Amino acid sequence: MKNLKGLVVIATLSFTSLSFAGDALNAEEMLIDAEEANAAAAAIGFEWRDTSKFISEARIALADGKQEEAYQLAQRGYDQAVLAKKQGELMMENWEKYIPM
Amino acid sequence: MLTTKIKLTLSLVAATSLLAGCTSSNSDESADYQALVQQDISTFQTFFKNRFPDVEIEDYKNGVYAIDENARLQWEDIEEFPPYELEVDDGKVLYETPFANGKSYADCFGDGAVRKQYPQFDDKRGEVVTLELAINECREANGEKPLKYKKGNIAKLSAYMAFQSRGQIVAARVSSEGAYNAYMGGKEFFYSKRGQMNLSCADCHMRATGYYLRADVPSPAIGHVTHFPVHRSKWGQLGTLHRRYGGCNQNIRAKAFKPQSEEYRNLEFFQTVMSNGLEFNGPGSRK
Amino acid sequence: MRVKKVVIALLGFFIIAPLWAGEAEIEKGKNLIYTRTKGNCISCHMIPGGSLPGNFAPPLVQMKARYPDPDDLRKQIFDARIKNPQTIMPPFGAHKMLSEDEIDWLVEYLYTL
Repeated sequence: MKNLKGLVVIATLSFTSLSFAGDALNAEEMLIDAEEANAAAAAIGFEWRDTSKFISEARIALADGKQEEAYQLAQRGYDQAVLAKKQGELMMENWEKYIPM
Repeated sequence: MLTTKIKLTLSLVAATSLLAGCTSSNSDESADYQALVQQDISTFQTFFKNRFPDVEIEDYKNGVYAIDENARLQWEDIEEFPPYELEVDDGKVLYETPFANGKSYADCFGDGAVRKQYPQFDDKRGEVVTLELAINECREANGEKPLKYKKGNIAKLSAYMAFQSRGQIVAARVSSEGAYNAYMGGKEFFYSKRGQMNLSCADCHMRATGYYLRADVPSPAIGHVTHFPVHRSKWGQLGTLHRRYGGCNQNIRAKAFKPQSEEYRNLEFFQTVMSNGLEFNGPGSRK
Repeated sequence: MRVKKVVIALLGFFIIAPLWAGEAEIEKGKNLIYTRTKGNCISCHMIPGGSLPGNFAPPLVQMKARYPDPDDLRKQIFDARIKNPQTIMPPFGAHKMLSEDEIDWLVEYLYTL
């Protein structure tokens, strides 16, 4: 019985740390993705104002071991960067349709 | 992509004129570019004529005060004792103070009344040269460090030179393929929506000009460049056109480009061409 | 006996909850209208009770009559480009300026106008 309890504790602990490790990897990955996506938006001249702020805040959170916060911030940066690039591509193709008459 | 389009448009223009038989077969390249641009100027200025039928084109040198009667009265009061007066005086002192090598700005710009020469497309360099860029290049050619581009001494110098040049007529020329490409770059920038708010320069300064956005009326895009640098009461000092560009881009939640970046120089070039025929009357004062 | 009490209490809560949430949502929606960093609708739209409104866009009145289907109003706030690509109305949802919840609250409030 005692052994079983011990086993449960160990199992729980290892699962928790595993899931933490999983988050850490994800936050880091998300951060890299966000940086790449934002560089792509910037390369066509369509970077948004706050994206790099979210990314650097994510980097700080990651360094402080705040995985969840880092992930959220990196995700916000990533989403913005993807939208910015999409906007830029649409404009580069279609800007003349946006000339007011 | 752009070049192809330009070439296509040009060959169309060339073909049309050949068909019409109104030009020699060996048509002057620069005239073609200027003709394309002239068409844009006419479309652009017609937009404002239709929007504000009572406003004379010349009056757009006064920016938003050309179209906002209430604000104009307050502004005219302010201009009685212009807030930029001391800064223009400072600019004069800076202008006349010799560099370490004994030369001064006068060796680059004479009496400083050179506003109408800028921005210009420099064919040898293949880029747009603005007044502020030229000021810094004059400094560097004389062994001085360049100034920062948004405010401070560069704005004061630019203000003094604008003041010296008051009354000159805007006449930016697009006379080569390089110049046309820079112009088109600026045009594309002007009409492209950007930033999280998805707004273009034209959205506020054409579509929404004359309307109220909260308590403010966005200025008409025609005439934007004539009165810079401006002393904004919000800034409490003079700022350059590119400082304003940066602020505008931030407001629509786009990342601002650096002052004197290629993007902003091309935008200034385009906007200047669009204001051809107006009078340079800088520096100005604004809210 | 105890169970019954709990069940009654729970049932009561579920009946009242939506109403109570509705009031709060309307209030939250109203705040978004005036918050510069959020909806800032008043910047372009006249809104009953709002001072110094913009006048570029249509006044926000009789919203139920203009948008009988709340989904249409929601879509317009989410991405006005669908109806008009050249619109100057920011795509509040598509560009993640407002969350899904926030847009719902806005619709709730606009329907009171």
